[in-house]
Amino acid sequence: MADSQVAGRSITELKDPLRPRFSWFTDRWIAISFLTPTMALLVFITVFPLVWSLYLSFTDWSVIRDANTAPTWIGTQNYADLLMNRRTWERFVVTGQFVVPSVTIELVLGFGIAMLLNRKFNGRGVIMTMLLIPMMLSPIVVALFWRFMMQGEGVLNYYVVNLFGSDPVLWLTDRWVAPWSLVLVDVWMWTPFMMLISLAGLSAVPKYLYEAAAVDRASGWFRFRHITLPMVAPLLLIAVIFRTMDAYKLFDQALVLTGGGPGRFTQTASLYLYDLAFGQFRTGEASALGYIMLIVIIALANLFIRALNSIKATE
Amino acid sequence: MQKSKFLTKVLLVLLIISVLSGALIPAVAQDKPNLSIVWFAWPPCDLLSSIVTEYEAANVSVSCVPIGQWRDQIFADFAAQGGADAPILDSQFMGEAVAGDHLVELTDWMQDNLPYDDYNQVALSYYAEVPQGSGRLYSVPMMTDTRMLVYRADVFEAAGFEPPQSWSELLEQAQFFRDSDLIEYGFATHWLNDGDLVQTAWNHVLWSFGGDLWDADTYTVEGVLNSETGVRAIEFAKELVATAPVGAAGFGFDETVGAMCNGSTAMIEIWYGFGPAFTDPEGCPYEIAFAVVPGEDAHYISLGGMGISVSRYSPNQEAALDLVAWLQSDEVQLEWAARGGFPGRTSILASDSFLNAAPYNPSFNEAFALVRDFWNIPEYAQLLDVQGEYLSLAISGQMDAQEALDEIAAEQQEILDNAYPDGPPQG
Repeated sequence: MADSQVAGRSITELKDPLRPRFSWFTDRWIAISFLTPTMALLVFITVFPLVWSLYLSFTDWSVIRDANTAPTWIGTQNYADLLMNRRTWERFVVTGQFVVPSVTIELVLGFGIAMLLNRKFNGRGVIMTMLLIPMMLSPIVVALFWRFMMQGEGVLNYYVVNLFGSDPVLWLTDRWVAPWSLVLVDVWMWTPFMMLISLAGLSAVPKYLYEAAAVDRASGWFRFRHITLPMVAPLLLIAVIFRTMDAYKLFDQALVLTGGGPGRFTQTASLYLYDLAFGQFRTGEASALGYIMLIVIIALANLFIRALNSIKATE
Repeated sequence: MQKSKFLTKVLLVLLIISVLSGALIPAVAQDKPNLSIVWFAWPPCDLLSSIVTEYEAANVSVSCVPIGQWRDQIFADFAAQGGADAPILDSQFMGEAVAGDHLVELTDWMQDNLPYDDYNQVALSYYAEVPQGSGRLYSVPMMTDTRMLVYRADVFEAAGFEPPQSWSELLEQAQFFRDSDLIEYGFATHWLNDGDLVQTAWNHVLWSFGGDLWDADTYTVEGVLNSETGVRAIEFAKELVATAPVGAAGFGFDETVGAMCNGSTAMIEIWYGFGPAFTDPEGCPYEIAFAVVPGEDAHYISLGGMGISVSRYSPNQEAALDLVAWLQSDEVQLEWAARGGFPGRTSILASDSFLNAAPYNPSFNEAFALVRDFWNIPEYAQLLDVQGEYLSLAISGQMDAQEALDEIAAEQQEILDNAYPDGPPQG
């Protein structure tokens, strides 16, 4: 029997009024309509530039010189030129000389401070907040005020001369000192990050393990070596991965503090890339260097992840 | 419920107001085109920002970017086929900009719309003509500039010195001041490797000692730059740095001005464009005088200053040209001169308005007659980069002078040979 009628429309129609009009708007279409804007944006601002720059890395195109002409395909010439150029290797050595000491010192200092703060005492919150301030500042601002402090007659040299009776230090213009000045600023800024992650790891270590160790009269070193360190290690390694990747990209601080100088003794791979891309506008070569840097960082990250997995496997 | 309805109404009203204001404001502003100028941050840029507020035919904004990013900003804008309508380019950028076809040619326009014969021909040639000698003009001299010697008149008087007549005399005086009780340091300038700072500070020492950066006819660097004269010019610069405040090898503009205005240094050398910094009694409370930078075996001074161009990518090229014409009018040029600018027109440079505007202006015309510029070719940025790297190391005593010059010569020669395998361009 047919549906009973109300004002000329069936009861079924009144109960589900959307069905006839939007029956084509299935769950699949809803999903597509929600995802499309995001996907379009992602393709436009991420995927397309990535693919386009990959293509440009195989051409000798310059965005200034050849703005109105099509790129000329030169195969792997840019990669070969860069890899055979001693300048490229020097820039990676400079980067390594910055990354290794920076991350190592930050790890040791950050973990040490976290150990000190991993107990209850008056003023702990205030001290922690103050310690966290550097990493919350803009890197450019940090670099600017360190640059003022590191000038020939800046506040650092005031203390060097008056407290230690030493000659002023050329913090930013001496080829041997300038790289360490970059490390100093980075350590000042990012040690709190290591501290924060370490503290999160330390506070997650179950207390009963320490209690059991105390019952067994285990020494402080034994507790640190066999309880604290293994429990915190995975988190520390993640922090090291983050810091390594970040330090490897160092650009803003080095640009403001030394501009890559003196000479090119603090010109990191990122600064070199900037110089190629926007100083000399060698777009094809700069794109190739960008991909070389990407490959290096992916390789490094994989090494760290393998180490992380092996630590987890032994737990 | 009532509260929610009220909030909805308020939001609706705000929305309507914002939509209407968004629609109306452009309608009002559309009467005038919007024009933009890009320059680097220094006193003349601030002055230009102030002067263009008097222009009634367009809304003009002036962007004063840090000098280190100045060239990058302009060329990145060119790459994006946008940016300022009227960029102010350094003379050395011109070759690269014209080769990339980023600027509107102004040869005919200048002759029809500006007092062409009144322009200082040296300024016109260096700032506007690409290639030099071709007669094709791509900018209008906006700010002529060169370097001046700024010294402490009271300290010089106490020492019984006159302004130095040669670089050797300048060094002797600087060493005297460093070792005396009259003042702490002798001489400072911007030896920093940023932009073209160290290069422009050193190049005219080299030229005045009789050396050269390259052979512009054959595009040869090797054997020209890395000569005995070149080594002598670097060794001389090292001796100058030794009379300067600590860390002088890393001095930029601010630190150089500061060395004079904090009372620590007897002499500095800097662009005339920074002159207003030394005539402000609050910022620089010392008895300061000005002189022409000396020569040695020859007498050259690094060229500064630059012209204003019109971008090929400007949607308002006609309006931009009108703005340039207005900036070059007698009235504005006289105001530009009176308020601290350095015009490119000889009649204005000779006017009382200019000569009486600042205590350093009377020496400007003498100094500008001695100017010399460096490579005005598309490979300028690469050549500059190489020179800055090794020169800054050598001048700060961290690299042997001969080794530094050999490295510069070899790398610059390679750049030129790669760019011009068949030799220098003809015509």
